[in-house]
Amino acid sequence: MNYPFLNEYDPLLENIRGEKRFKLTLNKVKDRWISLRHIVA
Amino acid sequence: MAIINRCIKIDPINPMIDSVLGWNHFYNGKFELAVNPLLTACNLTPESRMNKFWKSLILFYNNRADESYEFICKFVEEPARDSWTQLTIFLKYIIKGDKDKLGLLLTPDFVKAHRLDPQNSYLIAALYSYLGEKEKSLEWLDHAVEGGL
Repeated sequence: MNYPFLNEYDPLLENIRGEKRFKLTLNKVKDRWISLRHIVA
Repeated sequence: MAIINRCIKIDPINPMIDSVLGWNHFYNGKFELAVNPLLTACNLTPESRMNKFWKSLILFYNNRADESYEFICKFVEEPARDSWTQLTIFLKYIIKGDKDKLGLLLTPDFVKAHRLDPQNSYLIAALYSYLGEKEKSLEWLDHAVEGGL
């Protein structure tokens, strides 16, 4: 689960970052990312 | 990074540590820093299909697509007999934008094998995105995320 990589770092995803479906998927990833960071912290 | 540095102290010539260091840089978006460790891992284990893939990929991510393509043509045998080689050949066709050959490569067995692995699903999604195949990219990305990426 690597939200920053998907949301920002990977240049290959530039073509799909503006898509609605991508944003919906990334919202799921972001929720899990935040939960995991909370557990690790 | 502290764990990786500790591993290097314990076993400095283990190529797996170079791979892990490279992946760490890669997934933190530091693609330039990932080059040396991933190339070192491949040089130390030139028979490793996994390391051939990562060398090809990191060259591609660093705008060295021609070098990546040349390496794949020279050192990666076709047809593929394992999933790492399949992914490497997938990258080769992506670099050339050869959708016909991509279509031939994507057999039901290929799809089934790579859908078992969220990371592989992600890599296919990213490469499809690069090619402008948005629907295919989003579909593979969804699968990767559902698989726990």
